[in-house]
Amino acid sequence: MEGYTGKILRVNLTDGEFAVEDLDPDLIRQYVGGRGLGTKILYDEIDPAIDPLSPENKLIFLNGPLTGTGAPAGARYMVITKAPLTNTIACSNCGGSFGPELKQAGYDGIIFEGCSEEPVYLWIDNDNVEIRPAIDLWGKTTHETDDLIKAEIEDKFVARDTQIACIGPAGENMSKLACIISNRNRAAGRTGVGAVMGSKKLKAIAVRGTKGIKIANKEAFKKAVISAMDKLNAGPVTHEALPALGTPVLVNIVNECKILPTYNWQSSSYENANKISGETMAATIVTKHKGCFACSIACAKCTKVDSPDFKGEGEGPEYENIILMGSSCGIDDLAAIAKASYLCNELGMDTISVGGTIATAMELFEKGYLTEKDAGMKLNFGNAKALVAMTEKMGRGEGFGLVMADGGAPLAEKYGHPELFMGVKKLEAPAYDPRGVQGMGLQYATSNRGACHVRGYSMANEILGVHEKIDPLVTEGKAAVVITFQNLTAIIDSAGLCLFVALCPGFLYEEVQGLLNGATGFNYTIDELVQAGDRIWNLERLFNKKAGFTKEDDMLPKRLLEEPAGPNNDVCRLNEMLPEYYKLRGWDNGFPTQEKMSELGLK
Amino acid sequence: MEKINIELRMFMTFKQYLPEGSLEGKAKMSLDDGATFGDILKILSIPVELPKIVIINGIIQGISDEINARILKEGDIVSIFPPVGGG
Amino acid sequence: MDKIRIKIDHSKCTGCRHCETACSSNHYENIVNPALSRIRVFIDEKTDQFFPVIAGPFTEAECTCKYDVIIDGKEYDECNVCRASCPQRTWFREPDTGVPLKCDLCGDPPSPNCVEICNHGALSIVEI
Repeated sequence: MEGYTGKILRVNLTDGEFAVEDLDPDLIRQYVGGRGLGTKILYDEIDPAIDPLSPENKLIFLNGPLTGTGAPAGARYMVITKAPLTNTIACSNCGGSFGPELKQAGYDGIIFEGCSEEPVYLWIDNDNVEIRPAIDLWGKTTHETDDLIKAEIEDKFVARDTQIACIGPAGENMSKLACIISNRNRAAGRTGVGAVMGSKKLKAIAVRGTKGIKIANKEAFKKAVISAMDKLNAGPVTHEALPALGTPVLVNIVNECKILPTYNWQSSSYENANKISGETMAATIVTKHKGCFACSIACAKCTKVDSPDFKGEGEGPEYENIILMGSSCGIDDLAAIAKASYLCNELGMDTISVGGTIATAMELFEKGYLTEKDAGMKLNFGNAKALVAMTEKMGRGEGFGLVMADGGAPLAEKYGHPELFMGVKKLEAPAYDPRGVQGMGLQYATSNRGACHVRGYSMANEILGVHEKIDPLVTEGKAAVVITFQNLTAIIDSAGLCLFVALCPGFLYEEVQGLLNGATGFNYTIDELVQAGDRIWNLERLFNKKAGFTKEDDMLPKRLLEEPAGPNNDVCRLNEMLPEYYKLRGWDNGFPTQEKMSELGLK
Repeated sequence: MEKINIELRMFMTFKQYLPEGSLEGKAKMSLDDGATFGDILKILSIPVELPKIVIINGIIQGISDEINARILKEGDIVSIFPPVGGG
Repeated sequence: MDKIRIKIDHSKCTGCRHCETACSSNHYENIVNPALSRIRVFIDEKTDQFFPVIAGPFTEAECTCKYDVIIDGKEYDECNVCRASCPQRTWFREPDTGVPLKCDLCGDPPSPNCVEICNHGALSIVEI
């Protein structure tokens, strides 16, 4: 089998056993890999109604066929499980070098089952697989864990090639905002996948591999790689904006378009946006550009903060958390935002959800629903020191941080104002206000893992005009646009590519097809890929249905539907888009019809 | 001839075209009544063919031919970006 | 053949290792494997320093004098950035056979794949 290794490692943490299994080629072809294949495995193997933190849940790490092959931006591995934060299907996606190294070791992925009694970590050196004790690692930050595991390896050159994915204290405490960190600062971030790892007492996975990945057609693949790189290099975003400033390049434009969440989404533009912009970041704290494995974009920014209050270094912040921790908390101090991001990486938490939760807490505090006595500190908007202090408390599960570590929805509920939680399906919303970009509202509402931007980034056309310029303020035609992006994203994710390739004009199915066919030899047609994307989206939906979700869960926070804001002083007119969306999807009552399911070969 | 006043906000690579002495990428401009967006490009010597994203009063503008002919009015805020993206 | 050299500008390297995939897939039939690459990027993840190193021959004599290098204020053992396919290291030797690997300035006329694929300007060709 080419492109894939064809093998998956199954590890039972309850009895400490593991086995190597063959992947079914027919299944691979239907679901491509990564996100799609992982969802299929999870759907077949667990009851979607289970408690995500119970031993019955499974935790799947899975690569795509392009991961580690040298396809540009082909660095991604995906973590598929039932999500503790949302109770939906979870697929969190991460770059760096961990996925490629796992594949070099001979595995497309790993399925973790059961639960260990004592903390353990998994060691993989090609065929040599060991479940090792991790009592000494428990309680350590992600950076300390990385250092300690590497220090144990005798040959320092083997240590250098070893790639580690791990959780921090937040994952150990089963915070529903916990993520999985690899390469110290790259995160499989959203929906609390780190808590599942923590519930299984699995601290880390360390992998080193030297086996090689087979490519089906060397010449065709090379041609596709060059073609993809030429395209990325001709794209102004992928060749200039992202390499120069990283994702924070968006801060100013989103603010000028008046869709920048501010003061927990009470306003949609921020007077001090320039202080937290990509330009300011590049001029003040960025020290270096960094790329994930085989990436020709290199959007990551290494940063260093010298100010005594917030001293630190690491990667980021990224656009999303600059906004959620910045303007949404009324904070214009980039150093504090960077410090809070570093803490999230070290303690193992999703920066978007942490920012969103603190912003909710700040509004509760400002309105007098949450007191200083309860919170243990003054949580007023604009309080940069409180942002950093609370992030640390959440990561370590200390004091009121323990309450906040389960996310904004339970917090707002606890203090009697669920309407102040800004998210969907308990997932804190990312940093685009749908009152000025209607398609994103539909995307947040319908995304299978809750309010999420990387499941169907219609922003790319609505604001950025990447493939086609469309009006962000109207609702007409948005259902079709959102569906197109959702299905395409499912394929990009499943292939193991980074979603940012789709920020390049014309980087659509044809490019992905060229790369996939060169690597796998499958001869996918475009229609087949479009249908596979549709199939993956529908299967995720079916998982949620069995997990107990209904049509009513496709709902935005009241504020976005009732309080006008944005350039047109409008609300998000979700009701004008949702029925059309269901119709175009071939769904009845929010879920696939029998007819739709048999069309896609789903049961 | 009557004049209108607008605010210009330039970002990233477009900052270099701002009138001298502009601070933080912003400038006030006084234009003849009836002036178009295309006139701003001419006055500041911004090449028409440069790809750009134009936002007027928070509303993102459509294709470039239409933007260039767009007539400006008193108090307009005009923001110009190179193509950007992220997320 | 020896009319060109490869120039490495480590300040432009992003640590993406695309060169490693390109080198290995060029020298082996239908396989991508950084462990078989004749160029490796030494990455110090703590300081985010990236140093591409191109494989060369190993001789005992080269190792009689060991030294440390200071790069951007941090001290590294020479072995980290050395290009020799030496028996003390896993780098630049085939993992299964131990056969030493050496850059052959591939292509005819020479157009090394690592340079071709590098998108960040860290690797370039200079004529001599």
